[in-house]
Amino acid sequence: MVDFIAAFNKGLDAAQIAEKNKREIDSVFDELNKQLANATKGNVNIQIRECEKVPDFNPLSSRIDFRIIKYQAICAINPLFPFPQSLAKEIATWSQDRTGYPCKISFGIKEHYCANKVALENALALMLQDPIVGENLAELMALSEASA
Amino acid sequence: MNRVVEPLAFAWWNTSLSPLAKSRASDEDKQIAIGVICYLLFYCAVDFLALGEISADDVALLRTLTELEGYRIESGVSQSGRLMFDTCFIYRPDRLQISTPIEIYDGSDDDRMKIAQKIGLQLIDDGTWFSLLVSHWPSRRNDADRISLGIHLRYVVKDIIAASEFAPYIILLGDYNDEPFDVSLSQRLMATRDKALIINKRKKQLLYNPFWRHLSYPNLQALDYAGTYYYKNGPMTKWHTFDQIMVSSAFLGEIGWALDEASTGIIDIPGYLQMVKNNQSIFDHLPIIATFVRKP
Repeated sequence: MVDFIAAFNKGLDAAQIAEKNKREIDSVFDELNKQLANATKGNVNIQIRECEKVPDFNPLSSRIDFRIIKYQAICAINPLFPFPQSLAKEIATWSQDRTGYPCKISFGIKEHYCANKVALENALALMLQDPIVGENLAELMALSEASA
Repeated sequence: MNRVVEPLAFAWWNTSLSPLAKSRASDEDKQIAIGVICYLLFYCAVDFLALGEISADDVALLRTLTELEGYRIESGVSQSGRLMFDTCFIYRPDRLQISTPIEIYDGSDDDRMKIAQKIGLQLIDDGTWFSLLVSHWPSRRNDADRISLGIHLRYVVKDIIAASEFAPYIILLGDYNDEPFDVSLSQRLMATRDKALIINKRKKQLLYNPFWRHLSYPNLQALDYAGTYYYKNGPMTKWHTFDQIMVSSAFLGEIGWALDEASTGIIDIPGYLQMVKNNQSIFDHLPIIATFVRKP
């Protein structure tokens, strides 16, 4: 007979690991935002948000796809300028496993798979070094200069 | 009535011209390489050819060749820190359209590794999408964590499966510097030799690796080659099957595109094998091919 109690206990353990991993991932983003807030005088904040898009047009397809695709993205905002909301800049796409790791950060033509905290920290650092990401963050910071 | 669609052939060849995208080949070597490429494209009727150990200069040279008019050449040469992708893709634009190659890394910094290049590829004949994962993993002399390479490539496969509405057509090809039986490929990537396990037991998440068949001499009289890579100082074997093409379970189904195993394997080009076994030559890899047919 199947040992349901063993399976149940395994599920509880997995839930604990997932919770721990998600807290750890949150802590990485908290530290990132703390450092960015110091460096930009509070003008840049990074968040994971749910975004929507329409499928890419495919000329070979016989039908037009009207579905809306939902996905998660790493977005940057300037918290000092909360309106309009469209000023959130999507700088990378984000996905994570049900247990937290691996998580994936995609920007430009690069995808980084992160199996632990160190990998995530390094991938976020590489994301910040990307010139397009830098351009987006500079635009958010420029909001303050424009209003000064 | 279903339209007949021509078979589709994918090939991989580690050219040895420019390891880590640094040119080292003589003009004579380049002419030999061009001969091999033409053989694969014209004689073997390859629709999509992925090349390894290619530099930006090699790509520029290929683009000047009149023989390759009618083919499109997409460079996969790219550098990210100390990591280098050294690939190039030659394909028939009248049959295929492809997306820009996406570079996939594991995230850690000091020992960050290149996992694969991901290419979306659509067959113009019938609109079918294929996901291609082209890898050139580090040499075994390098102390790369090979288990981690296998784990990360499996993450990529898992993501493609999760994002697909139907069982996706995934083709993995390249030089893994690991054998089909190594833990990285057989256990972590989950590329099995057991086709029946996938078909009968519905283990759809497994990959099928037809290169388990190519671990030894195909011709017991000639004893000519027993793998894809020749390492002259090998203490137990000079031959290794480091170059492989693996496929997702969708290629083993009853309908749609299917792996044609009889036309899948190592390509022995007349005259080229002698160069691979010649210690003075830069060439040390044989090309490989996988052919797919559309079931009616």
